[in-house]
Amino acid sequence: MSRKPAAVTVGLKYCGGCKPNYDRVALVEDLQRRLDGQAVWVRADDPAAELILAVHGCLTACADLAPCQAQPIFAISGPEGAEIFVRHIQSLKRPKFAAPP
Amino acid sequence: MMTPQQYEESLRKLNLEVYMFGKRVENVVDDPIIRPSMNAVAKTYEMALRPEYEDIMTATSHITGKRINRFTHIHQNVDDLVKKSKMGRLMGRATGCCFQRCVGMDALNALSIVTYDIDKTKGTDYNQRFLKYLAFVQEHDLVCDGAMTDPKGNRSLPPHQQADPDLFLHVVEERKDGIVVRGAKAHQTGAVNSHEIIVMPTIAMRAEDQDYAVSFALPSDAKGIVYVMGRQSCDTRKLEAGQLDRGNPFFGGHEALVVFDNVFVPWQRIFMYKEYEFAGSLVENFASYHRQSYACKVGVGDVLIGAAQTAAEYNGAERASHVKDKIIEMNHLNETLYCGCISCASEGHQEPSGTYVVDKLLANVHKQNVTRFPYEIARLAQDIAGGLMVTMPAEEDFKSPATGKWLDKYYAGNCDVPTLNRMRILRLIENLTLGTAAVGYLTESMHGAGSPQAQRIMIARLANMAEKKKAAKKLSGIDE
Repeated sequence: MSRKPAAVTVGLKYCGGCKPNYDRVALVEDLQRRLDGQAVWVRADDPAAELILAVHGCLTACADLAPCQAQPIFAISGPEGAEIFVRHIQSLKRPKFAAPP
Repeated sequence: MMTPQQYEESLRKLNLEVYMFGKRVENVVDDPIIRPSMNAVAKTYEMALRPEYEDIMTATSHITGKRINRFTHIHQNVDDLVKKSKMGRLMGRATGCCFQRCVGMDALNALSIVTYDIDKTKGTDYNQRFLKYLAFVQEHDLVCDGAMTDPKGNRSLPPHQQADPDLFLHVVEERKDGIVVRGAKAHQTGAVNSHEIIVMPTIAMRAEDQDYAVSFALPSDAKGIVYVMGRQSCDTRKLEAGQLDRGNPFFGGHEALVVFDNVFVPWQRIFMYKEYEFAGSLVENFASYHRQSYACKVGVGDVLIGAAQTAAEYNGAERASHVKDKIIEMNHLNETLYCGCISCASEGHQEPSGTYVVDKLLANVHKQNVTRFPYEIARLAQDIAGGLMVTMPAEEDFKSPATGKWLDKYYAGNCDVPTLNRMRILRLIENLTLGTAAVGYLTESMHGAGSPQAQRIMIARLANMAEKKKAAKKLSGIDE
């Protein structure tokens, strides 16, 4: 039986940030603090990512997600979306040790 | 891709012949007047490596499949063109100045189109040469100076009729292994921060001017290339001890006259040689791309609008209705500029070479707006800032025991804000509207990528007047 972390591995993908309506990096840092122990953060192109968090600076939501189609994508465009993301991660019932596939 | 540190080190390895204030600049990278412009280019490297910007700042090379800095990319679709406009705004806002790297990108894209077109007509192999060169630029993540503007001498005369034949860069000798060129390129943005210079003809040409129809690329420190730095208003403030009076102590731009004093160019670096009938196409494609590139002024406008709003708040005037209305007008003008650079990109199309190019009418309309709107935005910023922007004493007077207490007392605005912060934001507005950065934000907006009349000629040529008349006649019942 292999040990798998209970935390969700989140692949982080930003839009390019041409005219963001808020500080995307500060929001993600806040998310990382609040989800400490519940989420592990990797780049979106990391094969370990279980879901992708797409952080858009505005409602245009233009981040290139074409390379991220293998995992579910959770897109946010501001602090309101971030709150929903936090609740989503916290609602995931993950076993402490998962059985191998 | 290079890191900013690797970029800086790569510049130190160049042996550029640079002159400023009548003397040779021995250490270009660390010269206090030039250094802020190097910082601005270095920012293009830094931001490409940051996850929160990579979606705009990087692209996938169509020749190697590798991730590259977008400034070395050939546009493969409309999305690439749109991202280029967004990158301009992003970088303009990050630096508050000209970051100098778009001109090389525009030269590369224009050559990708025209070398292909020449080959199809003439049976030459320029496009293959160009693609090898492009791979070299992308692999080493180089900064290229796109050098188009000749001094031009008597504007009423074509190149071959000028009293001094060197007033347009031209071929003076053909050898087995290459050519020798002589002439100069003026107003070269970011020239001494560049690894390479890409030379292009400056106007459409006829058969008599074929010696002037030449395009090539050289290392920026090739033998015979000499740089004479242009002055900027308030430039020597960068030699002073303090930071405050510089307005923007971090970033800046520069221009130089680049002299080609009998410079040898090997054949493999030549992309046009006497095919005079394609000179106009190269100019038009480059100019269209470069007129789109003035998306950067939207980003600089963001900085200036932010500075004006901050100054209003520091003055305690932000709730005055006329101040609010002026800020609205500044945003209206700035976002109108953004509309232009996004629309010319969104309406882009594919050329036979595969490269995507902007809608040329909309690109010219965009640049025409750029020749006007930043001036009005700057006027409104100065209106909001107040006269202190140009009458405040030097930073050293604020630090002086004799005068500092008086300046701190009498130049206070909103009592919640330190007086020096009020001075800092006013100095930034000064920098952008009449200091070193005004070179980029105002006069470059006027004349860069072609003076206003050049765009009006293109608008006259590209506007479909026949269709407009047809629509009018149809609705008025005229049946011809």
